[in-house]
Amino acid sequence: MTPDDIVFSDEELIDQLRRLRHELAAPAAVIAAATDAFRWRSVAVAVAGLEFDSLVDDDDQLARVRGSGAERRLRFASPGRSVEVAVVDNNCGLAGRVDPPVVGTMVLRHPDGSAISTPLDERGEFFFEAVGRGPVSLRPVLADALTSDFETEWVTI
Amino acid sequence: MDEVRDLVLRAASGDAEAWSGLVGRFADLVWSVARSVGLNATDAADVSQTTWLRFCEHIGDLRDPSRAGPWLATTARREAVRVSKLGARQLVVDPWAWLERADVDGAEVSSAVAGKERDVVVQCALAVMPERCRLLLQAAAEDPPPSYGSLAARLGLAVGSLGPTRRRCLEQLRQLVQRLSPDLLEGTKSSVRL
Repeated sequence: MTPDDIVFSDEELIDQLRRLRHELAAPAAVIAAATDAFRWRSVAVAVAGLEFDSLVDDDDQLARVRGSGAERRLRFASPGRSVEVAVVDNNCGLAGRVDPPVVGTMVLRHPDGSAISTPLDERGEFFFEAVGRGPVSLRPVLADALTSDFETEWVTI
Repeated sequence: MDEVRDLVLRAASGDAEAWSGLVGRFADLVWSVARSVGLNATDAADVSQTTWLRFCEHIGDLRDPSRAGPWLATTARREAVRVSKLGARQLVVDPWAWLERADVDGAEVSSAVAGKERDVVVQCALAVMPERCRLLLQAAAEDPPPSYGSLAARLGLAVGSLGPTRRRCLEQLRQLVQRLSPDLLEGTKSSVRL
């Protein structure tokens, strides 16, 4: 489509706006969730961006089917630190590793404010069982610290 | 677009009201993008939420705050494509499903895709318009449309200026659609597979 394809008369534009309003208006709960997202604003924390997702970045479909089975692999990175995660499809279990390794707790956050945590062992590895679907973010907390200065981008699993 | 820039800068410095203003402007756009990829309401709600959470994470480091609309549309589209694949992998596999897809008429599919892309561009253009124009055009799209008297009162305009203002706003919308099309389509097309 080129921009030239989208030249409408006034009435056509109004008709389109009417249809969009009718068919594609965000439901109230979706707007409420979007408004609520602001509570997660944190300025003093480094965000590790989603750098690799086997769902969209791995073109070798066959290898994925034959190789690691139902695993979806994700990698989040920020300068000097990364988190690698494998998502097991059936129950959305999460196994992962922080590099370089840190000992402490990995906190998994849901948008509603609830969170679950699991130990980070000396290899920086962690495992969550049956996380469920929806947006999540991970935040490693060092053993001797109360808070973290590092978290992953939100991603839908 | 300066109103958008202003809202982004205020929200980035912690102004919750400005954030609500951004949600009010762009929530429909993000939702439309998720739906245009073919997601059901539950998955589209997840994509919308993830998109807004990401926006909140990055609102302080957007290169051009006035381009929040294309940023949100591109992020939503990428996340929606991701989730559409996630959904497909969780379904019971029907080995013959591809046969049905092969029957689909190519021209019909292209036309449907073009229509959805157009919807997204128009949604984005509407979202970034100056507040008065945006409210006026939204009101014009109400069904049934409000009376001139009540609309003029709502917008603080004289009844006599509604017609010319409406025409001017529509022209502005048309120009924004032209201007935003290449950005939005270029930023999202490569990640869409149908």
